[in-house]
Amino acid sequence: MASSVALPSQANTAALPKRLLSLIPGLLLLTAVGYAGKFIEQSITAYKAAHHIVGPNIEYVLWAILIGLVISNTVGVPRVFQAGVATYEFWLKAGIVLLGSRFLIGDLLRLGGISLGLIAIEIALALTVTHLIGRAFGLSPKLTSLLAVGSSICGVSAIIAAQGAIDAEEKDASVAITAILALGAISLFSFPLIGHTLHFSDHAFGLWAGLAVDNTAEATATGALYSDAAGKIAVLAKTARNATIGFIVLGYAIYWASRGQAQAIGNKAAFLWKKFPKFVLGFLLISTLATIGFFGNAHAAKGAPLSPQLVAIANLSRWAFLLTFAGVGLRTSLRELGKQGWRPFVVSALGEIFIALLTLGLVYGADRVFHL
Amino acid sequence: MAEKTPEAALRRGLSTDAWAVLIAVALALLVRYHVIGAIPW
Repeated sequence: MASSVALPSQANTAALPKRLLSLIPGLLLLTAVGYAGKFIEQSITAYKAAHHIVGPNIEYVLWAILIGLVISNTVGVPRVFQAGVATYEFWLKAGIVLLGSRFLIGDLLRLGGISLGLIAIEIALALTVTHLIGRAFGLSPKLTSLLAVGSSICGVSAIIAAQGAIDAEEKDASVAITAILALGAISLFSFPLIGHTLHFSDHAFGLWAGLAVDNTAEATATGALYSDAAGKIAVLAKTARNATIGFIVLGYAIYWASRGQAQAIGNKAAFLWKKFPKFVLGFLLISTLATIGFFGNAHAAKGAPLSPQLVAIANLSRWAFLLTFAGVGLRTSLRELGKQGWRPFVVSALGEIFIALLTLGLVYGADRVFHL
Repeated sequence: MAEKTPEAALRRGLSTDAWAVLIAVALALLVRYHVIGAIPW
């Protein structure tokens, strides 16, 4: 995820009202697409109940993404909507911060700890394998570095963070981002099918989606497509993965600087802070407040219902994610994907398949040991 | 060298992360203090 595409960044205060106005058409489009997805799901559910039809439920998440995909790949998204559609990233991060209310610190430490352990193994192996495949296909070393960072950590935001740090070309970053987004879209549809086939629990599937799907929006959507609970765990695992961006990018920056092909990093602590995704701190803050009872009873497992405040905050998070899922479809252009050439795509795809299988094995093992 | 006062930060604009945290926390507080009531889904 880019760090400043949504709300009026780099704007002076005088231009703020104009900038906010320019977001309105796209925001209305996101709302319409998201709500249409929700409406279709509810209508189908009501029809099936009325006619006693039994069948799988297709979640609003998939409908919202599909409607967005159809619009962006047929009529396209006109320029007037584009600024507002780009706010999907803001809604994603706000949704994640609000979702913090549904995690108690104890759960965070346990699941976050397991996730971080698995992430360390995944990143080490994924970086190695992507580099080997990139070399075999004759990609430039910096493009391979970008693909490796994107597929092992956090998709688009990691690629953008790494591009600046290793002085990679804009074109390479664009190719890497396109390849990662294309594979994220494929994961969205394939992972839930695999999860159902293997009878994964909600926790195990959420952990797998969070570890293996690259972009945060797609990882969240993939988890939510499986179940609400899986969506929550996918966000947690992905957020833990995002928190490692700074360290990996710093490692690459030091490597390329040592070869004289990037600027040396002066203050490493400041570099890590700059690259750290700050919304993770918001997520932890809300989770801490929920744990100390600031929003009322958060211990639903103890028998008493959740406080109305926590239910309201959780629903705000769902609305924010609804806009995010609409944005995922609206910004995925299959035509753009076709223009980037096949080699980066094949390298990423092979890397992704490796990561998906590796993390599948890791999650399966963790499920046996920790009973997720 | 860039100014580091809050006013300068405001002129430059906040990052998406900062906006997301600010608005999400503000919404949570509004719910907590009953300014916003039940949110249907």
